[in-house]
Amino acid sequence: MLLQILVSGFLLGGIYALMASGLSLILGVMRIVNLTHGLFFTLGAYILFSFIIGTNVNPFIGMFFTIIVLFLIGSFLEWLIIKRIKYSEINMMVLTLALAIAGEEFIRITWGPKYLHIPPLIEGEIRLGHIYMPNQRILACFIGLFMLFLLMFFLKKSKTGKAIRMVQQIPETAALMGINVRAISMVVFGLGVVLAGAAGSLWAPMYITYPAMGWTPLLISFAIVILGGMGSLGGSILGGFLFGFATLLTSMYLSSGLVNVIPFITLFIVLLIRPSGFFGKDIF
Amino acid sequence: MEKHTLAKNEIMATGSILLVLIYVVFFTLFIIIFPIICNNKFLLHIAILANIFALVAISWDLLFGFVGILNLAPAVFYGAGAYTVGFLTKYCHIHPIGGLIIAGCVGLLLSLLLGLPSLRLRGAYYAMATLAFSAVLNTLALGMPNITGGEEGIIGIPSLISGTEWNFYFSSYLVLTCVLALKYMLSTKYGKKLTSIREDEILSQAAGIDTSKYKVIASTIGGVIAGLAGGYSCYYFNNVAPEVFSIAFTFSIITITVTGGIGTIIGPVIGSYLLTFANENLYIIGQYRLLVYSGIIIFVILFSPTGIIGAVKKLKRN
Repeated sequence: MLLQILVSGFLLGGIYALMASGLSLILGVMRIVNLTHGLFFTLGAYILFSFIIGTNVNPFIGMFFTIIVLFLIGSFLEWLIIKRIKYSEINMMVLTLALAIAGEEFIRITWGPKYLHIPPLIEGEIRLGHIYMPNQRILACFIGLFMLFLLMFFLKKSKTGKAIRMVQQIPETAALMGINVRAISMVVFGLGVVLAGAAGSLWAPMYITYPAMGWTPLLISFAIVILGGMGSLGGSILGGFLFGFATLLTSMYLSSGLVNVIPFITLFIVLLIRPSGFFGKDIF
Repeated sequence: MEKHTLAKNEIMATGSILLVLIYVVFFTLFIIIFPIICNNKFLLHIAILANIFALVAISWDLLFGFVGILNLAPAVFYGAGAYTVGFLTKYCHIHPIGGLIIAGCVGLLLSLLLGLPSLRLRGAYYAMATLAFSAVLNTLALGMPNITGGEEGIIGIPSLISGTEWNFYFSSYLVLTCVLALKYMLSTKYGKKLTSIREDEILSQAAGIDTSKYKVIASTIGGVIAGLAGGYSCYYFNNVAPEVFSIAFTFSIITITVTGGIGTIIGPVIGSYLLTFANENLYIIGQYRLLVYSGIIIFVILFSPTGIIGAVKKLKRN
C-alpha cells in the first residue's frame, strides 16, 4: 500500500514540480508575484480540450500546439499589461489577481461552466505486482520531467537561457551588459505560462476540467515555491515531488474534502518559521 | 510660540468638533428623510448591502491604502464574524447584541493571529499566507457540514433589528461612526505615523517609529470593523454560508476599494455604493459581473491607481 502511495505520489509530483517551476521562474527572474499562474493551468487544459475535441488531431500534436499557443499568449500578456506595473509589487498582485479572475470568467463564458472531460492521451495501465500505474499518469510524469529537463538544459546552455539567468542574478547590470531585458521578460513570462499550462493539460485528462480548477494548484505551487525557496528551480522541483507524496499520504487518512487543507496549513507554517524556504534566497 | 500654537490647535479642534456635529446632524436628517422620500424597500436593501461592503472595504483599506500591506483575506474577518454569530445563535442562543460584540472580538483575535505573522513576512509572502488562510477557512466551512452546515450554512438566525428602515439607519450609522472615528484617528499623531510607514517603512523605522506596533494596531482595528460587519450581516441576512470566505467576496472588496480610491476613508465608501448599486441595476450583466469587476480593476490600476478619489484630487489640482 505504501509503495503504491509512493509511486502515485511520484507521478503526481512530476506535475506539481512542472507547475511550481514555472512560478519559480517568473518569481525569480521578474520578481513579480504572478497570481495568474492558476489561470494558465486551467487555460492549458481548456486549449488542449479544444484541440482534441474540436479538431481530430493526434492528442500529442494537440499538446504541442497548446504549448505554442500558451507561449504566445503569455508573452503577449506580459508585453501588453504586465510590463506597465513593474514599479509596484502590491499593485502587481492585485492586477494579476484581476487578470486571473477575468480569465476564469472568460473561460466560463467561452467553454461553459460545466465540467468537461478530456480523454486520456493513453489508455490502460501498467501493473507491477500490487502497484497500479495508469498509463496517462506515467505519461504525464514523463512529459513533465522531460519538459523540466529541457528547461534546465535551455537555461544552462543556450544563449537566451544564460541571459535569463543573468537577469535573475544581477538585474541591474544585465541591462548594462547589453541584454534586452524587455525581450527576456516576455520570454520568461511566456515560459512560465507554458509550464503552468502544460501541467494543467497533463493533469486534466486524469481528473476533470472546470473553470475554477486553477486556484488550488496556484496555492499549491506557491506553497511549493516558498517551501523549496523562492528563486531556486531545483528547490521547486524537489518541493513538487514532496508535495505529491504528501498529498497522496494525506488522502489516505483524510476525507477528500479536507485534503486540500494540508498544503495551505503547511504553507502557513512554513511562512511563519522559514519564509525563505529550504534552498532559496530571500528575494523580497 | 509654543503657547500660541497650542491655542490655535485648540480652537481648530473645537471648530472641527462643531463641524463634525453639523455633519452628524445633517447625516441623521438625511437618512431619516431618505426612506420616506423613496418609498422603495429594495433600494434601502441595496444601500444596506453597500454599507456592509463599505465597512469591510474601509477595514481592508486601512491595511492596504494606509499601511501598504496587501491582505488577500478581508473575507476571513468578515466570515469569521458572520459564522461566530451563526454558531453562537444556533448553539448558545445568545442575545443579538452580545453576538455582535463577540463577533467584533473574534475579528480582533483573528486580526492579531494574522497580524503577528505580518511582522515577519513582507508583501508577497504575507499576501500568500492570507490567501491560504482564507482558502483553509473556505474548505473547512464546506467540509464540516455537521458543524458549519456545509454548503447551505447556518440558517434561521433572528434579526438584530427588524424592519428595513431601521437596518438602514443602523448600518448607515455604523459606516458614519467608522468614517468619523478613522478620520479622527488619522489626524492624530498615530495616524500620521501610520501614513509615514506606507510612504517609506525603512525611513520611518529610522525615524524611531515602531512599525510593528502600528501595523498590528492597524490590522486589529481593521479586523474589529470587518468582524462587526460580518456579525451584523449574519443578523441582517438571517443566515451565513461558506460564500463569505470565497475569493469572489475578497475580490469584490478589492475592486470596491481600488476603484473608490485607496488610502482615503471616503474612497471605499463611494466605491462600495457605486459598485453595489451598479451591480443591482445592471443585473443583465449578472453572469459577467466578475468579468466586469476585474476589467474595472485592471483599468483602474493601469490608468489611475489612486482610484476615483485620486482622479478627482488630480483634477482639482489642475
